[in-house]
Amino acid sequence: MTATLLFSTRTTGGFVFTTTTTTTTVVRRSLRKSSSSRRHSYGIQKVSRASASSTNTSSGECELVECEANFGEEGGGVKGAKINGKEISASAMRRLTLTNQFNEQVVLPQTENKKDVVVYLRHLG
Amino acid sequence: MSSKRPEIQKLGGDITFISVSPTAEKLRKFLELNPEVPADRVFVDTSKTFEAYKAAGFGNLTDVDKSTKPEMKPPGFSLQDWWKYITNVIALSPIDPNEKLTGPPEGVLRLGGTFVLNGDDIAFAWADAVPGAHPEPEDVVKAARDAWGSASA
Repeated sequence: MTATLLFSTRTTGGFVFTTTTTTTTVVRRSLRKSSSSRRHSYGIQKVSRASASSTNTSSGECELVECEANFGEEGGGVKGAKINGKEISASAMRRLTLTNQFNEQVVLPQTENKKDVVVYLRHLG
Repeated sequence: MSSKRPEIQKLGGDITFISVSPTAEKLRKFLELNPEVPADRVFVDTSKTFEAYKAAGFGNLTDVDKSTKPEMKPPGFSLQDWWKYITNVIALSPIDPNEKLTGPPEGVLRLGGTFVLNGDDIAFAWADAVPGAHPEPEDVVKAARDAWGSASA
């Protein structure tokens, strides 16, 4: 069985989630604190989308934060992320409508091979 | 992060920046003040409801749990940068001139984050815990390299 896991680490600044695919049946670990590095990591196998009532708040203590992996159906699925309780998918992000400097509404530009880094800044000033 | 664009491009990808602004005019002003920023890669969410930010799940500064002490990185401004900032902060602020303020404008409170997309996968996601708590640019490049490298193999 192929499961896609989310490995999350929280540095002192924010939360970062990276995904990887592995072959395992069940992986569910609780958030553990590494006192030396102040980094935390865990992985959660997708059981079902509704299986976890976890939330990720970008500001909570690590112990209170659960960042959910809900990615990867058997046979290879799409990997997403869950931020502040909201499931985020790359395909939804690719449909974002934004405004360019010429006041035109445009869809988020993307490279032909769909390798994109999207940085959300705060306000301009 | 914009300084990492050449590395990202070398990996076959590109960067897009999104910000909050009620008007495109403020974006033009920003680009005028920051010519090093690639104008064709910067966009703004002009919606009053911050739809692009909501779509990414990012929160507000008011949601921050004050019991945590996330690391905030200083902007690394020179004296000239600070002057530019102070003299233009109002012109660039996310405040709609036609809107009556009854409290802090929400655009000021919006938090950002960073994603690395690989096709229809999200390979890396970061939510800023507080303003200035960005991911290390090198970590973003590494995530891109890991995701895209394996994808193109």
